[in-house]
Amino acid sequence: MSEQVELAGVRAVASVSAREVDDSTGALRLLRETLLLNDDAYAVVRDASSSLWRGFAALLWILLFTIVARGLALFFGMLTSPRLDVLQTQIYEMLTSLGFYQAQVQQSPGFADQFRWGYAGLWEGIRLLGGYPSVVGTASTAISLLIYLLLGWLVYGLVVHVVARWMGGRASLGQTLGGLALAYAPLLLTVIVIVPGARVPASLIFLLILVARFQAIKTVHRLTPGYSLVALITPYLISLVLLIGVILFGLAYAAAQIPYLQPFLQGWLLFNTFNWLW
Amino acid sequence: MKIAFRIYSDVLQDRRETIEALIHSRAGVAFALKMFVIVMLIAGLGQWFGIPVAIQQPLLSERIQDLGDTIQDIGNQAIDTIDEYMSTISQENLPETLTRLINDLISQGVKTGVKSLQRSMIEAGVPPEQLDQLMAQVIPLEDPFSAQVTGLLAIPLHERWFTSRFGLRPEQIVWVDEQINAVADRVNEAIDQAQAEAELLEPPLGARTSRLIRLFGRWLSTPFTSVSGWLFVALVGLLVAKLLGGRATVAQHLAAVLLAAGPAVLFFVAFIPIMRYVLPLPYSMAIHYFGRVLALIAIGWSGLILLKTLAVAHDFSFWRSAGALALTWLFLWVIIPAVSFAALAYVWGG
Repeated sequence: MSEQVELAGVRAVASVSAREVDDSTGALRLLRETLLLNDDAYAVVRDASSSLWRGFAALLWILLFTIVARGLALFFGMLTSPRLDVLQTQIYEMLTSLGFYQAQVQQSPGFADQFRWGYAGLWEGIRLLGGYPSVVGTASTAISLLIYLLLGWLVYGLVVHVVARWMGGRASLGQTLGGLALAYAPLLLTVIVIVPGARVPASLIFLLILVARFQAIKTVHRLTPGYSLVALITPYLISLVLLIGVILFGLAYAAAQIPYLQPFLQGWLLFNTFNWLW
Repeated sequence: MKIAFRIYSDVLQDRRETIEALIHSRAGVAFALKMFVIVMLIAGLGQWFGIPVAIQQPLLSERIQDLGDTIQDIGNQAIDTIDEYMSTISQENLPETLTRLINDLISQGVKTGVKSLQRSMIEAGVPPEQLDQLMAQVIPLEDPFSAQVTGLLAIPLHERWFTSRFGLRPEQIVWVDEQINAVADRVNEAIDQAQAEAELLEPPLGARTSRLIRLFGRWLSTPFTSVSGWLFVALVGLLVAKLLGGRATVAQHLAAVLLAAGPAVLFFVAFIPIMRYVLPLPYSMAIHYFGRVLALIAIGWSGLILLKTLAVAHDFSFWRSAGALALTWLFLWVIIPAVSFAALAYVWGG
């Protein structure tokens, strides 16, 4: 009897913890349910009168939280990190007082500006590699995030929609994009970086977004898990093939500029042909 | 709270009914996620044993200060050693009469030394008329020689060795001494400047306070850094389970994996850092290896729970669940690398 009472208690906890999501659920609540892997959130967006704008509103909240978090992380990070700007200024003053620098400035008037930009760029690289906070690094991360989120959402959503419809999916483009917008909810975990020393591995964010996208495609298009998986990975495969193509043709263009490489490659091809014949 | 603790206890005991109620309920994943985060934060508390290390670890400016003290100690020891050595050899390898002469000249003054020289000459059997001629030459030299010897008396013993060995004049010895002291002063000045600049580099909140804040941040990240490596394995496991006919959704499968992390509180000791500056190294190593023993127990216990939770989530038997785990390992370490290698070989080989 006591075991039955315990089990009832467990079920009671499970049911109390369950929160229903419906059309009246706000964007933040939808994002919370998405983080808890509750696929009802995608169903709400799918069934909304304006799925695209519902999803876009959630995306804007994600952008707002992550960019504000980055800004606060920069502020608190600077309070608790070594003051590299002092070292940077001292080394700069030492270098610019050298005879070599003075001679170069006299020879070429633009050298001073080039040196200053190159020197600043080098220190930004040092900050990036060392994990030290920097204004330039934070600003470029925020801009990249904005571009990645919006562009990635649109391009990925378009390709997924085409493949999902081909697989038998029934959603509209707006529903697809609305559902996929919620799938960026794992980015909210990066808010933790406000605390200096805290970090969320990028691989974790990537995998969680992958899982959320799978749930979004499956729920919005009402596909089987297998077809949902195909629709999920197709854009990644296309990107990989395009990337390989860009690398190969880029290398080919660079190699074609080297005059001595072509005879060597011809000889190598000839050797391979003889090898194959033999 | 009491019920949540009872549920956690049931999960640790691998009770099927509780696991089934959690995985097949809508909020099962939410509970599993919350349980995982709390368990990993408790395990991560071991990192707080690093507080004494963070406080006692020397700052950069303190390390520079220590370096300066070390250089000074080495310099002083070197000079003391040279002094001791020179005082030994300056009394060796000289005839007894000459030793007495030098001691007389240096310690008793020139006039006494001259008298001593005279006495030595008589003892050595120098004829009186030759002795008179020699004294007639030496005595006029008394004043300038006296000045030289006075200069010699002012110089420490090791420098007298340089005088007798290399023929340096007293003013040259004084110049060399001044240069050595100037170098020592410049070294001290450089160390003081480096120390001042190292203090300028410290964070605005202070180096030690910053270390504590960052320790807090690392503790907060514990659930995320712990799960990042395992999530990929869990997803591959989901694929394998589906291939074997599993019926769990993504959420149910992940809930099953997260529930298996219940024993991870035993990682508490493994999270304790090496306690340099606080404990002797043998004790730190003992804590480290004891933590690994407890972590091994936690891994084994979690494995057993995982077999049950996967079986419940996918509606498998115990052995099918074990087969799914084994196949997952095979996929990750054998099949995926082999397929990747074969694909590369095909593309490269043409």
